[in-house]
Amino acid sequence: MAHTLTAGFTKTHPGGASIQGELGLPIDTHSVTILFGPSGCGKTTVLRSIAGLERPESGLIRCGDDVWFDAENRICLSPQRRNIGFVFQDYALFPHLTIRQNIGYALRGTPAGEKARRIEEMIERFELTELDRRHPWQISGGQKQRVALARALVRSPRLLLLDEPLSALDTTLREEVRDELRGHLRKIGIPTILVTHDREETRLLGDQLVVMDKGRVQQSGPVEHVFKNPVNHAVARSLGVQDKNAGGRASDDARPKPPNHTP
Amino acid sequence: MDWQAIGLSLRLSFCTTLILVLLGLPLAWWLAQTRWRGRFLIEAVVALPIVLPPTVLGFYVLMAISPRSPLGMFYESWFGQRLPFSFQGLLLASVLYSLPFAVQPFISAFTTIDRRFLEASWCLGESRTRTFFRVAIPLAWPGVLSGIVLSFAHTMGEFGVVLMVGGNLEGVTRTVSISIYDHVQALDYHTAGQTSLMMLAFSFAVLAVTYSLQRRFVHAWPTR
Repeated sequence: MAHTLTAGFTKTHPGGASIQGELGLPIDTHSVTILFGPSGCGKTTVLRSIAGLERPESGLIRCGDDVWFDAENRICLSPQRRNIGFVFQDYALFPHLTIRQNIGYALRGTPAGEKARRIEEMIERFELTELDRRHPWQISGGQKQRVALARALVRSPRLLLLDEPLSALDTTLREEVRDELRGHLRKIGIPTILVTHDREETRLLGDQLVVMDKGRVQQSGPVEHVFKNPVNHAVARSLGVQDKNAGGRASDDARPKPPNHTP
Repeated sequence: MDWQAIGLSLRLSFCTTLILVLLGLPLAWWLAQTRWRGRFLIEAVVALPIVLPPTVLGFYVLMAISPRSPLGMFYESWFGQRLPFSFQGLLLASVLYSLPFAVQPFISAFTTIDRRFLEASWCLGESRTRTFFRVAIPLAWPGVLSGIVLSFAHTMGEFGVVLMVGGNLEGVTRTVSISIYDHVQALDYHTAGQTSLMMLAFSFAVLAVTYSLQRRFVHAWPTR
C-alpha cells in the first residue's frame, strides 16, 4: 500500500460527461503505465486529476503514504505540492526563455553551482548541448520533447506524467522520436504514466496497460496480457485484437483512427 | 510656454501610471483568471469612465472626497489636509478616470496566454504568484506596455475631470490642458500655441518611440 499510487475518483465535465478514474500502480520500481483509449474517453482528465490540474468531485488519490486528494475530508493538494513531472501534449515550453532557462526553471532557489551542475547533467543526458541558447520556437519537435523531459526531470519528481507526448509530431518523425523516448524512459527510473491512443506506442513503451473507454477503466494489467486477453469487445476493438469472448476479430478499421487531440 | 503646467502634468501622469500598474495588473490578472459569475459587474465598473462624461465622473469624485464625506473626513483627520483642489485629489480622480485604459489592455494580454504555460509552471513547483511574475507578465508584456502608454497619454490629456476635482490652482492642479484653455480664454494665443505645440511634439515622440520599441524588441512570443 505504501509504495503504490492508488486513485479512484469521479470527475464530471461541465458538458455532463462523467469520468471515472481507477488506477493502482507501483511507485517504488520503475515502470511505464500506459493509459490507453480512444479520443475523448477521459484519459487526459484522469492524468490531469492525478497531477492536481483538475479537481474531481469525489474519490481518493494517494501516492504512497501521502493523500493527494480526498473529497470527503476536503483535501486537494496543489500541483506544486505533489512533486510530479508533467510533459504536455505540445510540450508547453516557455517561449520567452531559452532551452537552458526552461530546463532550469524549477531550480529557483537552488545554489548557483548546484543549479548549473544539474542543468548541465540534463543537457548532456538529453543531447541538447548545441541548443541550450536557442528558444523553443527555434528547435524541432523531437528536440522540444527532449527539452520537456529534461525540464520535468531536473528536480527528480516522484512520478512522471506524459500526455500524448508523440501526437504533436508528424508521422515520419514520430517513429524515430518514439524509439528515442523508449530509451529515455528505460534509463530515468521514475514511475511513469503515459497517455496515448496509439497501439504501437502502447506495445513499445509500456509495461502496464490501463484501457479506458467511455469515461471508465475497462481493463488493466501487463501490456501483453491485456492485448492477448481483452475482457470485452470494447477493449478488443480499441486494441485491434481478437475478442475471444465473441470469437471474431475486431478489425482495425472498425473504428476510425482518433485525431491527435484529446480534451 | 507654461513650463509649470507641463511639469505638473508629467508628474500627475507618472504617478497615475505607477498606481495603475500596481493596482491594475493584479486586478486584470484576477479578472482574466476568475470563474466567478459576478465578474461582469467588476468589468462594467472598470469600463464606466470610457462612457461617462468626465464631468459626471468628476462630480461624483468631488462628492466622494468632500470634507463632509467619510473618505474626506478620514483623509483630513489622517493627513491634516483636504482632498478637493489638491494634487492628491487630482491623482485619485486620474487613477479612476484612466483605469480602463490600463486594465483593459492588461486583461486582453492575460487572456491570450495559453493556460498550459501556467499549468506547466505550477507542475514545476512554482506558486501562482511566482508564475504571474515569471510567466504571465513576460508573455503578456506587449499588452502591458500598451496599457502603460495608454494610461500615461490619457492622463496627460485629461481636462474635464481635472477641472471638476482640481480646479485651476497654479502649480497645484493647473495641468497643461487647463493652462491652454486658460490662455485661450485670456486671448493669449501665442502662449497657448506654444504649449499646444509642445504637447503635440511630446505625445507624438512618446508614441513613436513606444511603437518602434514594441516592434523591435517586444513581439508576441511564437508559441509553437
